[in-house]
Amino acid sequence: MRPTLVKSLLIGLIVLPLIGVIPTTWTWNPRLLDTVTTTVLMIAAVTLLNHLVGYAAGKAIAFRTGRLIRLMELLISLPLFLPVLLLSFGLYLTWIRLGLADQFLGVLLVLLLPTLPYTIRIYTNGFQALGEQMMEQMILIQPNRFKRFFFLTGPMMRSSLQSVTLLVTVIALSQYALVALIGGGVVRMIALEAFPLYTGNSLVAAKEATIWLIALPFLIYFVQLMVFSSWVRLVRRLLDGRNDPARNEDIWKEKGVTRD
Amino acid sequence: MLQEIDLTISSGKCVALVGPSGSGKTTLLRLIAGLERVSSGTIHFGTTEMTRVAPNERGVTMLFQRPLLFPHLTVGQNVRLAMKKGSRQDVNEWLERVGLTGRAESFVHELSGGEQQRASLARALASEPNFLLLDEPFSSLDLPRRRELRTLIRRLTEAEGVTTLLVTHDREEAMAMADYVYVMEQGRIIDQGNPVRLAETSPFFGDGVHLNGEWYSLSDVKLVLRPTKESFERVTITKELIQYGVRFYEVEREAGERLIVQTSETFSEAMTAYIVRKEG
Repeated sequence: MRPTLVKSLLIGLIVLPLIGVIPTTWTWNPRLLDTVTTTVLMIAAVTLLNHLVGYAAGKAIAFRTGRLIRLMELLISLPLFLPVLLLSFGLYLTWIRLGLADQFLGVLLVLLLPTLPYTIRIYTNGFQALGEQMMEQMILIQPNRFKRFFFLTGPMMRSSLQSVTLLVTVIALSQYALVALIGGGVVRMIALEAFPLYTGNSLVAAKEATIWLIALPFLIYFVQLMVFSSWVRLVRRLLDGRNDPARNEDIWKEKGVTRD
Repeated sequence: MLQEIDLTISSGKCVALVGPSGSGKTTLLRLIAGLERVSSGTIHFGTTEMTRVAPNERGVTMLFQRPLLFPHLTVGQNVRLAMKKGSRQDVNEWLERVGLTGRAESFVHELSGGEQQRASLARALASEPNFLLLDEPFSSLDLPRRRELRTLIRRLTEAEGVTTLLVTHDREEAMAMADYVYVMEQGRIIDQGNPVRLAETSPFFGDGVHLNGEWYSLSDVKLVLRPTKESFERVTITKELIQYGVRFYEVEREAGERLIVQTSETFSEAMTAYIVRKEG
């Protein structure tokens, strides 16, 4: 495909429709701000859960073998093949019994359905690219698992961590039907808020909601870029300050041990 | 699976484990490092039992086939990370010892393959280990770099008094580095001794091939274009090597392992050839 055609398609499909949603006035609608807060909290919670579960599961799938692991791989891949909405009907009935319907926690858990399979897949690929020997080398060099993650695994899995955060944000933001079904209109996320505004007559509020919908992934992308580059800088700074031979020499001298 | 392994390594010495692929050399190395669980039997370092001790508490460090340096850190930071808290060693001293003076601020991708492996050695020794485990660390290097690194490891481990266990399938490598050699096959130690004695007496020492169930040392086989014998192994030619007027080829086996086999015939790269037993 010619580059000019690709550019035209991108402009035609992505940029042009956005021009129509630029609001001419901004009202700081309080209901919308409340929804944005819930959305940000929900995204943060879903992303955190995805990282916690996906990291462990991805690592297990990447480095372990056996029937149980293969079964686990199949089970977590199921939402990729089955329509998530179909699973969510079943979940909805269970959530009602457990008292989780119309609750923040209920929506949080159901949002794992469309996100977790991708997260685990991304982590599995990330760990496979790193390799088992690299992981073993890390264990031998940095025994403490938290320090190991901070100094080594985290920065080396940076692209996986970033991809997961961004993907989970975008997928969770786009879930209209799941949030509507499980949240029952009580737990409101931005997509759920925008749709009725467009179908109704509140075009100004609808445009504001759309701007939030577009702005949130960008905001999260830039925040995580800053977090990750600060992380790597901090790791390097801590390592440069570690084992300063002059300082160590002073400690040894204080102990009365001379250098041989 | 390993069976009836009884391995004694004297402190400060270099011991080699040799044998064909799949003989259990690397598994044994990983058991010593604590990276695999021992199902039965014990591992002692001196008088201390290490069987259930975590890898990091064993005073063991390992050099793999690949340098496995951490790419987000500089060479100096890689070495510093491995150093013990309050160590009196200096990163630059370590880099100087491995011939990487002034490279502390370089990133891993700025080093050549040989330099990376030397940086990895500096990192391994900077952790002040009791035991250095070498899992074919020379296999990704060319011959001159291989010899250079071999000499360097031997010199540094002797100077630091570090006990070394080398896993290799290269007879020359074991001869050049080890004080004592254990020969492994199918999970068992089948021979052991001084490398010079083994080279003279053991047909199993060094690379070899199985033909029709029999094991042959590489000096007893040759490479041919068309096998006339019943038993042969099909390989792919990767490189031509002529040493002292004798023609050798580096070949790749189906499992990916590489061997160097003598021949009187001529081949070109990527051609299929056959390893057969020599006449007589």
